[in-house]
Amino acid sequence: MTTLAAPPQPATVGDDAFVEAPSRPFAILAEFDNVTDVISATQAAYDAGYRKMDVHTPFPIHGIDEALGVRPTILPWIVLLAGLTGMALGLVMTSYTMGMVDAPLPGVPVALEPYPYLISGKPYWSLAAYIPVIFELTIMFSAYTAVFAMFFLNKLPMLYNPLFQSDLMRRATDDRFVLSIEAADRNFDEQQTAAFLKDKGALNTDIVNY
Amino acid sequence: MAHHATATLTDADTAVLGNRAGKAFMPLLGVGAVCLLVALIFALFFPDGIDRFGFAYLTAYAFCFAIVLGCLFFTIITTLFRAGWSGMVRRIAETFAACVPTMAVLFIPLAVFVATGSGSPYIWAKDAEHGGHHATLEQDGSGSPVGAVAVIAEQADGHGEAGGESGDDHDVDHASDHGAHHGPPSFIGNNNPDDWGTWYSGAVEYYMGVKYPWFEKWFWALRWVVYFAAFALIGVGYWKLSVKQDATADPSLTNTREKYAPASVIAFALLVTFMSTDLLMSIDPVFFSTMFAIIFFANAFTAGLATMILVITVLRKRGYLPNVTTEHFHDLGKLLFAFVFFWGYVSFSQFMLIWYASLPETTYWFEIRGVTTVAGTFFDGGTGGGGGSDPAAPTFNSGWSWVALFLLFFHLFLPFAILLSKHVKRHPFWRVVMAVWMLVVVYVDLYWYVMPMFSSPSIGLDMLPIDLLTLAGMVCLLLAAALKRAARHSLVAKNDPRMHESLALDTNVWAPVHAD
Repeated sequence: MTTLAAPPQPATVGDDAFVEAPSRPFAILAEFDNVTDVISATQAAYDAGYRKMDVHTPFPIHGIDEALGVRPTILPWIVLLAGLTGMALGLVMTSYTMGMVDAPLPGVPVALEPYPYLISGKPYWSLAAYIPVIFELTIMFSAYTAVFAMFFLNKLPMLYNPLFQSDLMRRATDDRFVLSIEAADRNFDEQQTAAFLKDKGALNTDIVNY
Repeated sequence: MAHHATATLTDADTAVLGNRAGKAFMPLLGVGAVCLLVALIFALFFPDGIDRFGFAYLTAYAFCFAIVLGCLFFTIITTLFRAGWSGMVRRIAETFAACVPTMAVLFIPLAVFVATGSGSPYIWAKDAEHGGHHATLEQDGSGSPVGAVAVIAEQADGHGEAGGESGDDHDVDHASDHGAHHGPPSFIGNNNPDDWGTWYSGAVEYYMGVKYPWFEKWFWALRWVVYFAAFALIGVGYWKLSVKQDATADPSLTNTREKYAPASVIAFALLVTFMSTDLLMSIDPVFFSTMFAIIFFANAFTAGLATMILVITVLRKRGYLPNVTTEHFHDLGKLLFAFVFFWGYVSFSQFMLIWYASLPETTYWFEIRGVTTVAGTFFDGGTGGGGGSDPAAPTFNSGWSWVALFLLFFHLFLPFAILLSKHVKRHPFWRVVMAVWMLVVVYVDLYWYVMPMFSSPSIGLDMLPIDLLTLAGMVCLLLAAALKRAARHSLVAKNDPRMHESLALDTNVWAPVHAD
């Protein structure tokens, strides 16, 4: 955001055909060695106006969602919508294939014509017999949507994250708690943010470039 | 925030009700006894009021037993899973689960109904002197008194002897309602809608023979002794181990509880299966459904959870249990929500299987409960009100249909949609509304199982006060019993070794085993 890459030089003949863009910061990392410090630092960062931040910890921490100001996910609403879609689709499919006895629709290809089947003397349109189909489609749509919408909302699968360059991140899976503030945050400033985090008890800070 | 990991049990959490329970105990006992007495007196004003009282008593009894068994299941299933979250609320469940002996005492009136042989609420207990279906067969083609069961059983190969024995015991009177019927009495294939009464009395005889000796009184009494002994062993046993830990703070008592939990859960499953069959399904000896017991179980757990939510809310209003937080209510609400749908799932399974198989010996069970698209039945000559022998007669497709539809919407669709939201489960007012709602629909569900046997096709609302008074009385007596159990002990299993997990419960985040 701060420094845009300079326009690449025209390629010259030889080994310098590819010019590396000058690096620009992606995020700043701050290392803590206990839960209380990382939560209070996160809360302080939130109060100071930082929003594009995350905390990387070896285990889930109670209260970190509140400190980060994580807003409730919209995933449940997506799943609800998918479930209702599955339900409607199940109802329409069963009613169309089994229930449309007397109405060959004009223009419908033979392969897509209704296929009413007489089963143990029941009426063709029998809601009780359709319920399992409707139920299963509702469940299937909800379950698959829950999984894949979660992937989508979490930007998964993400094979590379610039944060992995920092040595600080190695211990985030072991015995350190790492707070990261992205350079894209409107309050981000390399020096000031680093000083702020030091002030809030960070053991170390590290700038990660793209 | 992480700070609530430091929460500890306060004096208000571990308070003992003591004498304060006594103030509510006597009024509850008194109101309960008066309600039952008034219901009984009210019943005397109706010609068949005492029979109705039997059915009302059975419904109310099943409702209260459902609460006790739901709490018993909560106790053993959380112990089986070594649940940490439930520590703050477990004692409430244990207290109700320990009320099995009270339920055994309250069972005595039902035993009296069976012993007197009035046929209410259990038709199989009807004696000959009450004009029941055990009266002597006057004429049956051959002229010799032969039980219908024997005849049918002889037709079906291999059952002749056993059927004959029971047939001798249960001679049948078909002459009164059976004049035009020739040949051996049989209900199978009898599709004449004018003849439904004959069909049913024949079916009762036949299935009592098939199910012999299930409906023998001695066997019935023996089973109930086993049910109460086993339930009391589990319910009172777990409660005793829990209150013992209050005094000794011995964590090995938790090991003992967990050691017996798997066997208790298996025993619970078997006992509830047979017990609900005996308590509710056997009011109709013809009907059979393998789903019935599990529907009762779904109702029982629903009622148990709703009762726990309400009791804890009342206690918190009075200043007890301050460490039961929204998180605990949220978890109880999740279970309640799950079992709303579980009830719908198993109830629909029962309906769909019976509807698909379309066997007369099971479809009639739904028919007399109003679940039928057939406008006309034997009551109106099969033509749908107007064309039969009695044009004014009601059909099954009447009052009970509304109850069935009520259950579909208010026991399944609406509470499912409402409890889906976590805001409802966490809201202090709406979660109470939903708990009361679920208790009401569980009672209506049990009512719908029991009462049509007495009054269908009519819904019989003229004697509704008997039902409601009996219900109020029985619930008061159960609460009095639970209060007496609770009075001398802490309201929380205060020395539970997993209490710190329950105190630190935060359902917003997955909780590590050792929160601190």
